[in-house]
Parts: sequence; structure tokens; C-alpha cells
Amino acid sequence: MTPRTPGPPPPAGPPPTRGITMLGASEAGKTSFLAALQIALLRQPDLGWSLTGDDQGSTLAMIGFMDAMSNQHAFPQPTVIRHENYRWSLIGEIPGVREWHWWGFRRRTRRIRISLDLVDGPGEASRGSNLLATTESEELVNSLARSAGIVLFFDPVLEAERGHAFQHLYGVLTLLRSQAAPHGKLPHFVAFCINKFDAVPIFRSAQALRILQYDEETGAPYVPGEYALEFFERLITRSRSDDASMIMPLLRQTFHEDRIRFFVTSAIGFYIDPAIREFDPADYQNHIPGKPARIRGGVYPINVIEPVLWLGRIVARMAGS
Amino acid sequence: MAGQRPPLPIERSAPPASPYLSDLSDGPAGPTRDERLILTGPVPAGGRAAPAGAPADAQLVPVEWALWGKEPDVPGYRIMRCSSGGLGAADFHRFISRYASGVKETLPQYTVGWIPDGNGGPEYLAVAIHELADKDPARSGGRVRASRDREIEYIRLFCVRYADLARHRATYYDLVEALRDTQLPAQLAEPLQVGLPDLDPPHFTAAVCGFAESVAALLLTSRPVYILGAEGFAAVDRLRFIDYVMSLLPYGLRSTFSASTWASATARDLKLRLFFTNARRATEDGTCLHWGQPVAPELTAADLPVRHYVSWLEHGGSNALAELADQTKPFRFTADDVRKAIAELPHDRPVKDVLEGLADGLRRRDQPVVAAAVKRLRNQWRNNPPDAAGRLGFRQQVDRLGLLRPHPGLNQRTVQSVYRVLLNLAFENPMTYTGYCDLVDCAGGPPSGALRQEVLDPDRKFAAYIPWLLVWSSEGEFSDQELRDNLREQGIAATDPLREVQRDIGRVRKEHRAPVYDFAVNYLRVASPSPRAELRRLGYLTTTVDAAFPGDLKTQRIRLEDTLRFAYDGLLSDAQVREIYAQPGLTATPAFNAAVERLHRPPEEAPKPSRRPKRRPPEPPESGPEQSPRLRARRDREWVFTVRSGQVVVGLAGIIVLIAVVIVVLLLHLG
Repeated sequence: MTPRTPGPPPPAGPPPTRGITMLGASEAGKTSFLAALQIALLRQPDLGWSLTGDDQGSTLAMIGFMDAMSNQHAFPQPTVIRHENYRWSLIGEIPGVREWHWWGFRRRTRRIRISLDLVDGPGEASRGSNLLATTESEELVNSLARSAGIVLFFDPVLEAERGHAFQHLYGVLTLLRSQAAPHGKLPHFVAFCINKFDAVPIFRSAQALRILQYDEETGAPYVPGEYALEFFERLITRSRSDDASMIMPLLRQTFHEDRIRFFVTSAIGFYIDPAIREFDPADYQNHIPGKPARIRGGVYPINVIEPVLWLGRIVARMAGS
Repeated sequence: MAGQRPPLPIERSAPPASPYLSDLSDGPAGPTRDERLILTGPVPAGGRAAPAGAPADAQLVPVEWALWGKEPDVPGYRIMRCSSGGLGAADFHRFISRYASGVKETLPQYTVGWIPDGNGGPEYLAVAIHELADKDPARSGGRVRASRDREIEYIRLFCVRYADLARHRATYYDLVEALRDTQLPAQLAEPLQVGLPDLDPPHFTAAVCGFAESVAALLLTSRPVYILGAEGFAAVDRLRFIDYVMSLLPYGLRSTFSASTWASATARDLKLRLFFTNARRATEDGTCLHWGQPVAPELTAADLPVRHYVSWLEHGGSNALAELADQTKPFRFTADDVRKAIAELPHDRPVKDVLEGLADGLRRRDQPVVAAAVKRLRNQWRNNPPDAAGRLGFRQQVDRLGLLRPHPGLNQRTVQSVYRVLLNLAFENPMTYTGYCDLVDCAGGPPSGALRQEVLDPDRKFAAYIPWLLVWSSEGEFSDQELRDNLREQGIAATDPLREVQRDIGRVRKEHRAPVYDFAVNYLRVASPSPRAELRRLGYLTTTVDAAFPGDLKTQRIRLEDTLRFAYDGLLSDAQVREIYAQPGLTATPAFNAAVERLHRPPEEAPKPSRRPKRRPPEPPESGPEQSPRLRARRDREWVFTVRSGQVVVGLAGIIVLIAVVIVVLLLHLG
């Protein structure tokens, strides 16, 4: 008898529900990221996707975000204490879908709707020191457990200053694993967003790594997905804490590796002079520090749609739509 | 960030079309409380004197406090400092987490709530002021306005023991006003002492009051209520409106009330009972109201107490608010507690509502609610005894609600008190026969058990013999002999009951006729010195019997036969028969004739039958004059059935014989 070779691990079961939860430290840019989603879709009409609110509150929030960022040049109000739930839907068209008939099939463009049940919690909820003591932490863990997708935020600027990203992840993910996957890995899909790419030190790091590509229309730089992990590994070497080196092993330990994708993102993007409408490497800072901070010019989100669309498609496939 | 967010002036965005908005924006129509009554600020714990400007009777109450926010360059919100009283940082944190209302477009905003004691009962009321630090460092209490380029939403949280607040019936606005200028600087550690005025709820015009009444009623359904379209008002005006809504409810409900002048439309799992927001939420999140739009609360059968509350409020009169404020016993917003709170509403409630509440309490075996309703009904009866029309109305409602039916599972004394008050309220005293019949209808049968005991209470009298007899003789507690003795002891003349029977027999219900007639005749026989003469004088009661049992010859005959037997000591001779028919005033009814005929002694004794008579075939129906149409029809049916049965038997026998003959013929033929 030939010994059996160990096969691949059994596929993890589908996550319990359809939602997508945002996870990250406070001030990591979760709310700004969500707020920029609509703008990002409008900036890239070629993608063929649009965003719509599924209830009155979510629609009003979408309108409010748009008004704050593009009209008032302000960042949206941060989420404090209570989790906010945005029910939005991505609506788009998929060309060339086979449609079967008795004589065979024909290809048609199919209109689809992907429901996004986005939960934005306060960063304090994932703070490691009092995870079991607060209702907001409990709410966050429950929300994550119910979600199919997680958008995980890593703020390299804050990490260089404070080095607390691992603390914010470890407690929550450990609790989540004990609840949702006591003996294995979590079934969730994870979009790991390295945020605030527009910040000067982060942009320069990417430049130094020579991993940048440039948008054909505005010339704005971005980091393509295939270099995102490498970029992240470089960034954590700049962390103020040694713990940051454990983030990647923690993720591999918690989730199936093929379900994690890395994105280098920016909610506001780089400053594009409206007169020239092109990226200027000598003048690109869009974030104006202040009390409160403001947005200097137009909002040109970078890699904001991609993680949401990726997770949204997965969630929709699971829901059978 | 949008920069500083000043409170919106009322006039700026109030749509002119809405009467409610003008109610709030016009000077005289807005809250008119004399704000000089409010103490302007707290004093440290050491200073016990009331601050200047306080009313003479103002007393100091301890206030525990906490400041929630962010230190510069320290990530995350937390309790920055708090008082060292009965509540700790964890308690304050729990309150802030529980009643968090999400992202706010404008600041300041106000949230109110409560903190339970160790047993889960209400202990503290809390007011949270959500705000930015003042731009003027002298007025900011050492707080920075922003951290890491973000404005900080601070929460100043003030907690007062409910008992202290209830003593003054203070409003949330009172508390906020008293603490508005206390910035909670870092050097403060002790609880504060604040003087509060006695209750003077804000006053609004009729339109706003009507809307507030609807909100108050809906809150009693235990479902959260949220209001859209009030963004144009300053948060403090929304707080006053919340105060006004709560002043329309028993003060004790504040002990477990929570509300916010603003909640995010996308915030999840809000723990607020009343809040203002800007978008409709999911149905399960509460009842949605639009500011300034008339509300017709849809109340189900389960919301009966709420309907009573609405009705009470309509009839509450000018003193209603003050009376509500005196109801400081803590209540929760649960169906049971709401029911209790409404049962204890001050002032007179419409009896109709009280009766419905009583029925609900009896159905659920809720002793306190039943007791409260009984007390209310008793007061109503004493202070405002109903007239005949009123009694009739209550009787109909008692009947409809089944209040006089048995109520198993409740304390016997409580049930008796229910019956007593209902009898007083809905039935005449002394009780007439009509009243007795109504009682039977309401109780679903003759009064029994506790109800009968109440009817027999010495305080209750009977207007006539018939109801007296029917109640006393039921349940077999007393024998006829005892009842007769009782009547004699009361000095009731021998003929009185019979006279009443003769007079009223036509309107006595069929099922009551036999007992009242029989008892009255027996009483005559026992109580009269010359009963036979009396019976003769009364014509052997032939017309009374005919009226009591019309068409029932047998029943009539049995009773007349009995009377004649009593009058003549057995069978009648020819002479006695002649004497009977010669009586003046005698009405010889067919039943009487039959009775006489049966009692008439034959000239010679008939031979005793030696054996059982042969069973004879049924005779065809006779149509004698004495037979009732019903009896005739029955006999016809029996006869026809018997004849037809016989024909069938004969037919069957014939067929069998025929078959047998055929078989024999066939056998012969084959043979």
C-alpha cells in the first residue's frame, strides 16, 4: 500500500453573512476611505460601476461624505464610540455573460448589483488593553464574525509614530478566531489596505523602491497590487515597534493566505492642480495639517474601489447573486 | 473638518409653513420658564451654600461627573478624568458606550440616560453634553480643541441620584443649565454640589403640545421613537422638547429613560428611547415621526394601557402635569411597568378606561393593577355615584368585559373587592328582579361563589322577594325550611310572596318561575293561619299557574293537583267537585279540569289490574283539544315511524319467501 500523500487542506466554509467590516486603529482613515468610495467611482467611469444607498440613512451619509470632501474640502466626521453601518450597493454591468437557451447560449451584458453592508467602527474598539471590557469592542468582534469580508487598515504614518498596529490587530483577531474558528483559520476574505499613500514619507518610500506606476490620465502614481506586499514589508521596518514584524505571520496564522490581498491606498489621493490637471511631483501634497485638517484640492482616490469591488464580488458570489 | 459648529438659530432654517416651527421660534410661544430660577453653576463639595440667585428653597444635590475625550497626541478616546464618588471610570465608560448616538453633524448635542444599581434598578440619571472645547482657553477647562488635526468631541457627563432629582422633580434642562459652565478642569476631583429648582416644565403652544402628547403615548408602547425634520432647531430646544414629552408621563419613567437630541442615521444598535435624526431607519429600530406632522398612533389590543393613558391625558385637566410630576416611583418602559404606571395615574380616569384596565389586570392576574383599578372605581362611586343611565352603561361594559365571571388564580379578597365595587357601580341597591337578571347575564349564570357572597352582603338589600329567593336558595346552602323561617322572622306576610308572584310572573324568566311559584305557595301554606281558605279565595291559583307555565298542561296540572290535594286532604268526592266548581271567581282552565278529573274519586274502586297490560300497537294520533300542537306532531311522527317499520318488515319477509320459493322451484326443476 502506498502511503497517502497529504492533500490540500479542506476548503473553509463560507463566512456566515454578507457584510464587510472595516478594521483598523483610530485615525487610520477608515471613514475617509469609505467616504471616498463614491468619488472614486465617479473618477473612473470606465469601470462601469456606480454606488447607491440601500436605505435613507446610508444614502444621506453618502451625500454628506461627498459634500464634505469635494465641496467643503473637509474630512468626514470620525466614527466615535458607536459603529456606523452603511448599506450601499455597487451597480455595474458584466459583458459577455453566457445565457443558456434550448438552442444553445448567447452572450449578453448582464446588470448586477453587489450589496455592500459596510460597518465602520471606532478605532478604540480594537485597542488591545480593554477588549473584553467595552461594549464597542464586543460589537466590533461580533460584526467581524458576521462579515464575509474585512477591510484591514494599516496606517504607515501612525505606525512610524506610535507602532501600535499589531496591538490593534492581535487582540481582535485572537478573539475573533476563538469565536469563529476555534480550531482553524477564519474563512474571511481580507483586503489589507496600506493607507495614506499620499503622505509624503510613504510616497517617497515607494519611489525609493521603484514600484510606482502612473495613471494614464492624470499621471498620478500608484502602487500596483503585485508590489503591495513587498511595499508593506518595507514599511514595517520603519515602525516604531518591533511588534510590527509579527503582523504578517499573524495574518497568515489567522486567514487563508489565498484570501488576503494587499492594496496601497489613499482616500484623498495626490493634489492635482485643476488648471493643469496633471500630477506634479514637486507639488502633490493634498492633506493640509490644521485644527482640523483640510483637503487642499480635488479628491482623487487611489485603490479605493479595488478592495471593495474585490470583496463585494466575493460576497455577491457567496450570496448567489 | 467643517470648523466650529455653532448651534443653529431657530429662525434660520425653520420652514415657515409649519405651525410647530413658529411655535418654537416665536418668543411667547417658546419655553417660558423663568430661567432665573435655575442656579447658574455648581459649587465645589466643600461649599454647601446655594449659589447666589438660587431660590430660597433650593437644595444642593451631589453630582458625580466624568470628562470623556482625547489628550493631545494620545490616540483614542477615553475617560480623561472623573469624580471620586460612588461611580468609577468604568461606570462612566459603560454609560457613554451604551448611549452613544453615533456621528453628529453639529455640536453641542445632549444625551440623557440612566445608570442601574447593583440589582439592575435605576440609581442615577445622567446628562451628557457632547461638545467641542471652547476656543477661548479660559473657558475650555484646559481642554485642547483638536488632536492630530482632528477636532475632539468631548463629553461632559453629569450623574445625579434619581432619588435626589425626583425630590425636586427637576428636568434635564435644569440639570444642563445648572452645569453648563462647569468645565471640569484637571484639578477637580470631588463630586459637585448643585442647586436645583423645583419642577417647572417648559411650556409650548397647543400644536407642539399635541405632537408631544403623541410622542409620549408612543413611548409607552415600549418601542423607540425617533423624530425627523427637527434639524432646524437648536439642540437645547430639542432637549426642552424631550423634557416636555417626559413631563407628560409619570415622573418615575425618567428613572429608566434615555434620549438624545441627535443620533446618526447609520449608527447601529442605538439604545435610545427617543432621539432626533435625519433619515428613516429600519422598522425594527422604532416608530418614525415627522416633526410638525399630525400623528395618529396605531395602537393594538396589546396597547390598551396606552389608550387609557391617551384618554386620561385628554381628561387630565390643568393640573395633570403637576400630578404626573408627583408620580416619582421608578418605572421601566416595559409592558408590565407601563401598565402599573398607568394604573396609578393620578386624578380621575374615565370609568370606561378603568374598567378596561381592570379586565386586563384580571386576565393577567396582575394584583397591583387590579387593586389600583378597584381603588379608582371605589373613589368614583363614592365621589360621583352614577345615576340609572350611568349604571346601565357600566353594566353593559361589565357584561362585555366579563368582569363578573369567575377569576381563578387571583386572591379571594381581591376578587371579592372587584365584585363589590362593580355591584355598587353598575347595579341598583336594593336589588330588583331586573337587576338580578342583569347580574345573571353579566356573570354568565346564577351568582355563585364570591359573587354570591357579595350579593348577600348585609349592606346589599333586595327590593323584592323574587331576587331574594333566587340568590339565597342557590348553591343549596339553605333549605326551603330555613328560608321560610327567615322570611317569617322578617315578618313577611304569608301572602306577600305569592302576591308578588301573581303580579310579576309574566316578566319572570321561565327558568325562575317554578322555584319562585312553588316557594311562594309553600310559604303561604306554612305561614298562613288558614291556608286552605286563602287558596280557595285565590281561586286555587289557576290563572297564576296558567300565566306561569303557559301551554304546559302537565306542569300546570301537577301544581293544581297538589293545591287541590292540600285543600281537600286527598281525593275529591262528587260533592267536593261540585263545591270547587261553584267557587266564585274560579277560572277553570283545562289543566284545572284535568287535575280535578284525576283527583275525582270514582263511584266504585276500579278492579286492580292482574297483570301488565298488553302492549298495544300505537294508535293513530288524536287531535284532542288538550293536546299541544308540539305533542301532536310528536305522536304523529312516532305512529308513522312504527307503521312504516312494520311495512318494511312485511316487505322483507315477502322477499325472503319469494326467494325461497324460487330456490325450491329451481331445485325441483334441476332434480
